[in-house]
Amino acid sequence: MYNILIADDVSMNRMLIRSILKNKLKDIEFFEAENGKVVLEVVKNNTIDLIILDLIMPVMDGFEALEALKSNEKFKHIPVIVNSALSEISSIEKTLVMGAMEYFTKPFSPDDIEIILPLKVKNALKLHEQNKEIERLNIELNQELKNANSFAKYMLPKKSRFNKVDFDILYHPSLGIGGDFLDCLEINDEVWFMVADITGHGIAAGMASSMIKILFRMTLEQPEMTPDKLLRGINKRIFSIFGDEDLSNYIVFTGFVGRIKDCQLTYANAAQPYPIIYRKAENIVVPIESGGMLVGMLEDAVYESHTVPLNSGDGIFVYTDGLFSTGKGSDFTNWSLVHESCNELITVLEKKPENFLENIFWKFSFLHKGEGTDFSDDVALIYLTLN
Amino acid sequence: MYNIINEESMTIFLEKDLVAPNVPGFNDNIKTYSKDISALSQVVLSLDTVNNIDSIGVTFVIGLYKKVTKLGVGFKIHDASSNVKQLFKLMKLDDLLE
Repeated sequence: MYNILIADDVSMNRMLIRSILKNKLKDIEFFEAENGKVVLEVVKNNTIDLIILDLIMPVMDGFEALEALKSNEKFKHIPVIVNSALSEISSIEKTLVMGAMEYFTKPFSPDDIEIILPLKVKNALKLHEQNKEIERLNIELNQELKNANSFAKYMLPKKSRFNKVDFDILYHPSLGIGGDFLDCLEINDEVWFMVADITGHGIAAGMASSMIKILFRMTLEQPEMTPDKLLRGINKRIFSIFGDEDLSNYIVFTGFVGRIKDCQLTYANAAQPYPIIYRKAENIVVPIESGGMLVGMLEDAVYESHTVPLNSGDGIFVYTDGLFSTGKGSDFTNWSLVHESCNELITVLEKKPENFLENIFWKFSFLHKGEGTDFSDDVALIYLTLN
Repeated sequence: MYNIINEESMTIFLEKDLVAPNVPGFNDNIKTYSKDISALSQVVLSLDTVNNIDSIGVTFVIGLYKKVTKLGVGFKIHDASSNVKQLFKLMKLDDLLE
C-alpha cells in the first residue's frame, strides 16, 4: 500500500489526478492538501510515499513547501512530482534544483493522463521503496558492525599484569570492526605477545583477525616454540587452509611476535613498522629495525628470530601503521614520526608509563587534524613493561 | 596502465598509485597480458608514477610476482621512490628492486 499526497488549491485538479491514478495503479491511498501548510501537516502525521505538488497555492505556495520538505531530515527523501501551470524554464529549473523528481505542466495532455503520469508515479514509488530498503539495510549493517565490534573487543587480552610483565593496550577500529589484532598471554615463565594488521577493513578483515587469534594460540601450544617458528607455522597453516588461490589474499597481514623470558625479548617481525624499546636506565627510546615478509603472501616465507636483553623498567611499544598513516599522500612510511613522538613523550615513559598509549594516540590524533586528515585505518597499540 | 614489450622483456607502467581503489583495474589489465608474458624472459614493473602504496597495493605486487615466476619468467621492479624502497626493505622485498 502506498500513500500519495495530492497538493493543489483547486479541488477539481485534485479529483482529476486522483481519478487518473486510481484507474491505472493499485493499492494506493490518497491524501489531499489545498496549500503548502497543509502539506507539511499531512507529512508530519502520516507516512507519505509520494507528493504531487502544485506550485501556486495560497497560505504557503509549492516552492516554500518544497523547500521546507527538502530541508527536513525526516521528509527530504519523499519524492516530489511538481504539477503546475507555470511553464517558464526558470520555474521548472528552480523546482528540479530544489529536489523535485519530475515536472508536469498543466493542463494534462491525453498522453499525460493515459501513459506518462501513471508511469512516472509508478517509477517514483518504486525508487522510493528501493531507497527505503537501502536505508533499512544500512541500519541493519551498522548494527551488525557494532555487534561485531563488541565481539572483537571481547576477544582483546584482558589481564594487564603478569608475574614480571605489565601491559597496556589501545584499540581503535576504523569501521566498527577492525582488521588489527592484539594478543598477550603468559605461559609458565614466558610472556608471549603478537600485534598484527590484516590487509583490508570491515567484516572480512575482522573475521580474519579472529582466525589469527586462534592460530596464534594454537601454534603456541606446540613445544619449543620461537617467534620465527610461530610466524612460519601460521603462514603454513593459512596456505594449507586456503591454498594458493587469490582468496589467500584475504589472510595477508603484517605481524610482530615477541616472547619475554629471563629478562630477554626474543622477537620476529613480519613487516610490522619498527617497534620501539624504551631503556629506563639510559632514558632513551630505540627502534627495532628488523623487517620480514608479510604473512600469507608466500608459502615458503622464512622468518628470523632476534634477541635483545631487557632490564627492569624497560618497555616495548608495538603499533600498527594506522597510527601514523592516514592514506593521504606518502605518509605510509612515517614510522620515524612514531620514534620522534616517543622521544617527545620520554617523560611519560619514565614517570607514568600507564599513560603512554593514550598520550601517543592523542598526539597523532592532533597531528592528523592539524594536517586536515584523521585516522583512516585501524589502530592497535601495545606497551609492555618489565616490572 | 600500459606495457611496452622490448625483445624478451615487458615493462608495465601503472600510471596511478598502488592503492586499494586502483588494484582491481590493475588486476584486470594483468589478465589480458598473461598470454604475452609466458613468451618472455623478464617482466619489469615500473613504479615511476607511484607516490602512494598501501597493503592492497603490496599484495598486487606480490601477486604479480607469483604469477610471473610461476611461468618461469623473471621479475624486477624499477624506479621505486625512496618511500616505496623503505617499505619494501621493511617487508624484505628489496631483492625485487633494481
